[in-house]
Amino acid sequence: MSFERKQLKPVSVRTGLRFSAPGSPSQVVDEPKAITATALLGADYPGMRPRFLVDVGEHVSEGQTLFVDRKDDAICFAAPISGRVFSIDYGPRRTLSAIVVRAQNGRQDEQSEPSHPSTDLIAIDASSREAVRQTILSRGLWPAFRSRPYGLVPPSHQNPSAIFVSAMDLAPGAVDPDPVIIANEDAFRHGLEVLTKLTSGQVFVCQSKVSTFQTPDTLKIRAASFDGGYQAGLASTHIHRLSPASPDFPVWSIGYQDVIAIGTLFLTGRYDATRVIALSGEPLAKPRLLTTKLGASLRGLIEGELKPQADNQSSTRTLSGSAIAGRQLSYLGRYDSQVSILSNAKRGWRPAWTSRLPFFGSNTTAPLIPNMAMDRALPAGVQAVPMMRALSVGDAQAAKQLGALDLVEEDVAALNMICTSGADYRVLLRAVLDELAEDAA
Amino acid sequence: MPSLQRSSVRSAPFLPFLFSAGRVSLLQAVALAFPLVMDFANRGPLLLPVFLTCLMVALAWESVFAFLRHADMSLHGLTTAMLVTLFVPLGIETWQLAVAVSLGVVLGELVFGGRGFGFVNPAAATLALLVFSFPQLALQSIDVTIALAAIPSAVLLLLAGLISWRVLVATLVMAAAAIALLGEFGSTQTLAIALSVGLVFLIADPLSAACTNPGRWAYGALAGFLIAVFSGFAAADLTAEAIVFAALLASIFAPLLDHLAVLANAHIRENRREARRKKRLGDKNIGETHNG
Repeated sequence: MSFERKQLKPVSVRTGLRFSAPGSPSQVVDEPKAITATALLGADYPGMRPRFLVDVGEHVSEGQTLFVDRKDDAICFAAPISGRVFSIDYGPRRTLSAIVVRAQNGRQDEQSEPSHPSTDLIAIDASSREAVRQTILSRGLWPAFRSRPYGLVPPSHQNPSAIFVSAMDLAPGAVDPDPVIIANEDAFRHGLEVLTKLTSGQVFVCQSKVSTFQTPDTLKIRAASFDGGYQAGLASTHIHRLSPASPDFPVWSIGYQDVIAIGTLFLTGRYDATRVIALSGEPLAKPRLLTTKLGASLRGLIEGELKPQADNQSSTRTLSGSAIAGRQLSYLGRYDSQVSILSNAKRGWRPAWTSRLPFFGSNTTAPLIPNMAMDRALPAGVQAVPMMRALSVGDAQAAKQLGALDLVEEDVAALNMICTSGADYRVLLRAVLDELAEDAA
Repeated sequence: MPSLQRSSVRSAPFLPFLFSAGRVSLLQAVALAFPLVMDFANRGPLLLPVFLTCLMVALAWESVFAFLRHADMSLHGLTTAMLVTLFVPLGIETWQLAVAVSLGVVLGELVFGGRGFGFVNPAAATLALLVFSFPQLALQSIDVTIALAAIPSAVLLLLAGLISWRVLVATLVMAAAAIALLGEFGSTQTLAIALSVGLVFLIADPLSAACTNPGRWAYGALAGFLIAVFSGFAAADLTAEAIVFAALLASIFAPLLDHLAVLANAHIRENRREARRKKRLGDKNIGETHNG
């Protein structure tokens, strides 16, 4: 191992699609809105089966463990706000659908003291790897990590060969990480220090070429700068360029706001579910940044935000995430820091009856017609059209050969916008990744 | 539904329009209209019955298949008809044309499930069948006005991402190089004019060309070389038949070339991973790094 410190070369991603961003927010964080309800969603943890530690109607406090992973019960999932458990819903095969926590009296408790015993008893100890691991696991911050390959929350015993901190977001209308990190610099730096304890490899802080915050330069923390189109901001691009993951050598990724949350936990002992998110999209009267909590109700977030002419349910769609990779959820996704509002209208230039005409109508079976834009849509040097064909027919082995293990759902979302077939490649990729994970186990 | 999100892809300006296979065909028809209008201007109204025959036969088979499959009627036959018309000589008998278009459309496209599911261009199949079945017919050669009209078509299709510049460049360079090295080159102009329409619409067709970038280079080079071979390595003898057969043969090899490109990509990927692994194994911290 050499001890000379060489800065990582900035990476410029030549391919990559560029998107226009109508309705981008001004990068000033506004006053927080009252939060009525938050939820933890099964959609964020594919295949995870919960064992609940609380009941419907029970009072929970912020940071209290709501449930653990049945297969790996060291992994705790914490309540983002204090309030009452409003509902617990299972999905297929006893997976989680959603657990909703409602703030009482329509607003959350302002007390910041953790009142539940489980959060008090475990002391904050950052002395050893095992102590750090136990603290993060038991205080509900473990699900902030996602492990590659397969893109799932890592098992509690896993040692990553590197940790990637995404401190950039190139989606249209996203939060600019710089002011958020600068405002929480101590917590961010402390969080990075804590992360180095979890891996024997390095912690890469992936930031944009123009970012203004200073990443501490130590033996284990490396700053890596990227620029280019949308794909240059994806964790898959960073991992592929710096330290490709494989089943034997898994790599973790984590968002910068979760690093701040980990830093806050180790500095103050407080579970911090606060997130700065962007409200973006043309139908908004005032696209802006907001402070909210993990899993906040999207209806509550966009209430009173739409332009008067767009203010009805049918004319807009609300996505958790960007306009490219966003999902239609009722609550903010665990890994999302953006809410995008898209307008449904604007087909005005062609009358509805034209949908019966051959060129304008929808085919019953829609083919995939190769378009040169597809080649620029995937990160990590994955060949798009063969990958799309492999995913369409569910051929897991072919997809693996093409590099499916280097991808997660957010990477293939851009293909949905380009392909004529109308397939959702995120769903297809998840099915293939699940199959490959099962084969590997 | 995705049409609105599509509007935000700045890198691909035509995406909002191209949200279905039918729309892709419509745009290709617009592109084909430039050379076809020029062809009508050159050859006069006698071309109309030829075009209408092609169109009606192609659409008749499409409606038969749509009926049998309980699917919506599509109009992809329009582009096939336009493309075939550009290459068909005026002296052709109607029944000859009808037979060739029937076989080309059915065997080249419809038996596979329609546009986007096959691997050969139905127009190339039609023209090849025509030449095979009726050897006395000579396909119409492309003249300079039509070649010029194909330039805006090429620009339109390039902007829409429906043809690859890699295929265009590889085909042109390979055809020119092979002819220059192994035969009589003639002039660049002759070559470019003879190739124009066939290159843009038959060889670079997104559904018959290769679909990976290395595959596209190889596919273009193969098509260019085949053109040189079929024209006897003489630019002056470069006929439409040579281009049609080169397009057909190259498109049959396109999946193989793609497969090789995928294997090469997988190999590079594996090597990268292996190099990483060795580097980590060399690290003395391996006991800690390795995930138990």
